[in-house]
Amino acid sequence: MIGKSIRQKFTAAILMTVFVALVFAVLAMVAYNLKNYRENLFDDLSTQASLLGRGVTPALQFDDARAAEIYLKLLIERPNIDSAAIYSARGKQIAAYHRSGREDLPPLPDSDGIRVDDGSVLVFKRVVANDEIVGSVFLKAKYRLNEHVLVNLSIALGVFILAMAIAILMSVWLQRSVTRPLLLVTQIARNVVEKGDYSLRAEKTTTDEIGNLVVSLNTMWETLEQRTEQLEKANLKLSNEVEERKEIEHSLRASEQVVKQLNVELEQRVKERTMQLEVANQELEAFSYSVSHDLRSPLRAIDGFSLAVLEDHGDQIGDSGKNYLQRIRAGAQRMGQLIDDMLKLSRVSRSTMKIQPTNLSELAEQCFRECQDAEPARNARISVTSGLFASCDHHLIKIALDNLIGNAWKYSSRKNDTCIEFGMRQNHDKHAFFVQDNGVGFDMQYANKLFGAFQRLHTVGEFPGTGIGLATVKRVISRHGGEIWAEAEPGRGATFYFTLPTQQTVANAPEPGGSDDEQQADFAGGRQSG
Amino acid sequence: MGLLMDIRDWFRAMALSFLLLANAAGADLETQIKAAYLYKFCLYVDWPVSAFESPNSPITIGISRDRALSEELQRITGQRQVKDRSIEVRYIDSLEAFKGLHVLYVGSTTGDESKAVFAKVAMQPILTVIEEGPSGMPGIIEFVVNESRVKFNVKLNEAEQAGLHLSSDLLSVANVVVGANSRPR
Repeated sequence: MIGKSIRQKFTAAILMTVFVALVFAVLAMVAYNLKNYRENLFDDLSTQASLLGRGVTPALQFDDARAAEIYLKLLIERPNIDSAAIYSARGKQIAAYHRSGREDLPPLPDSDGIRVDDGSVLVFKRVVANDEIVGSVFLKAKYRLNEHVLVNLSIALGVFILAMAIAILMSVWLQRSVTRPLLLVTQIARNVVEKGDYSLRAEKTTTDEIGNLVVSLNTMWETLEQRTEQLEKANLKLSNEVEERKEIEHSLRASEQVVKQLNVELEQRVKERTMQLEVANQELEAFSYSVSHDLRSPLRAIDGFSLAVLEDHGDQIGDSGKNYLQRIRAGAQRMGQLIDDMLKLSRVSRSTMKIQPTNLSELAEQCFRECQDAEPARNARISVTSGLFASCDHHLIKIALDNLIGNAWKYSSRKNDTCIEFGMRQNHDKHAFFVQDNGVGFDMQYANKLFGAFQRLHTVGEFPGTGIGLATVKRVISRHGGEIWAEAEPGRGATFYFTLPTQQTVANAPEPGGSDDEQQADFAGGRQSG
Repeated sequence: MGLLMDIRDWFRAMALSFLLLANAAGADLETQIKAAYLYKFCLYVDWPVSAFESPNSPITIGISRDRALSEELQRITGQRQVKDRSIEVRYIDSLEAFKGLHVLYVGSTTGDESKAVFAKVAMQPILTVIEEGPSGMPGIIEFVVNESRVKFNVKLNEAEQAGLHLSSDLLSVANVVVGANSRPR
């Protein structure tokens, strides 16, 4: 019964109720009927016996058997009475009645009463007249209890079948009015759950709770349907957006691919160009080196033979010829110097670097000493801050310092009181080494030309030089990854600053003033003595 | 069954005692039956109210010319009542003494005297009972002995004349009913 549908439950409930009610009702009815039948029959027979007794009283009193017999014959009108008998007060049977055939009748009357014997009811009734017993009446009637039971049961069966049929009809009606909307609701709910189909609506057929339920469910489904539609729309929108994004991503990726491709191509081209450039550079350097090298021998020849002409034939060519030869020699020597400087520059560019901690202060002092040694007569105040270290190539940085200090020495040569300083200070937000002089200086508008090769701000007549030195310095500093710049004012000296990436300062550097003075004195003394 | 046996025994005992009593009284069976019938006739006869002095005054039965019957009747009606009336049995020597009687039995109806008296009695509300005979006496009921059984005839005209009403029950057991409105039997 738990697994079945509500319809079957309804039917079963109705049929069960009807069945039980009917069984009890029918049983009660049958029992009542049978009891009634029995009581009625007994009452009837008893009354019949009494009436019979009253009727035959005269016959008994006057001993008239014939009259009694005639009277008994009236019982033919009572089909259910099989036989009857009249007994006198003394117990003698004086009249008898048999409906069919002859039956044995009790020879003597019994006491008053009714009893059932073998499908018959036996009635004995005393006949009393004027307070005297005048005789007895005996009746024997059919006791149709079984027939009654059968009739009753068949009626009951008929009623039963009819009631069950009505019950089934009622259950059908109930299904129509109660379970059908419920079943429809269930079907719709199943549709909603299994197929997501919200379109079906249960019709409201009743105004009871089921009707209310149907209305509520319909409303709910409508809401659900609307929500679902909204959701679907939102979903559609979202998926469209996702699609668009995908497309954008796709194109982005494609363009990225293109960019990458371009990058790769670019790198390839850069590499190729770099290689070409390197090759060209090498060729160029090799060329310039060989040119420089090869240029030296003809120059040497020019210089040497000019000297030979001057020495061997000086008297023959006159003063003018000597002068020319002197100028030829000077030119040749100058060209040789140029070639040397070019070779130097070339070497600076090509040489391999060996980075190591280097004491720049020592190197600077060494440079100053060399300058002083070259011109011992010059009176110069040299100041070197001691203990300045940097990680760099010792050889290259020496070349750079040679050039910077040599320039300072050279361009301050016209001052009576030469003052050159090497140290370290803050400039342009950087800790930079510097070489400062109090020489001729230069105009800052030409500062950008300073570090080009063969660029000179002064004529050879003013100051000798090839215009290679600062180019070489710049090359050295660049190779170390540093920077170089200058500050100057015409007539008031120039300061050259440079940085090295891993420059260091020794903390316990000696006091600049004292040591400067000593060195100054020392140099001055040396110069004066030399 | 025990009860049944007892009752049958009782019937036999009653029958026996009847016989014994009858024998003891010395009355023969015919007399006994007639006495009983006389008593029972009272049950089926309605007298006019004027016949009694009061509602409780007894029914008086006069017996003439049969001493044995008188005694027998006296014996059986001793304590019995009919319709709330006791029964008084009176033996009368002369028929003239019919005054106050309700039932008059004449054992022998021979002689003119009887006729003369009966002519008077016939107008009175008295149930006259006589023995059957050729006398042509105007009795209302006549005893008849037929095939050794005691029976009786009823004459309705006489009864009507006397102002008596006889129950149809009585008529139904009568041997012969004589009268205009009698049933054919």
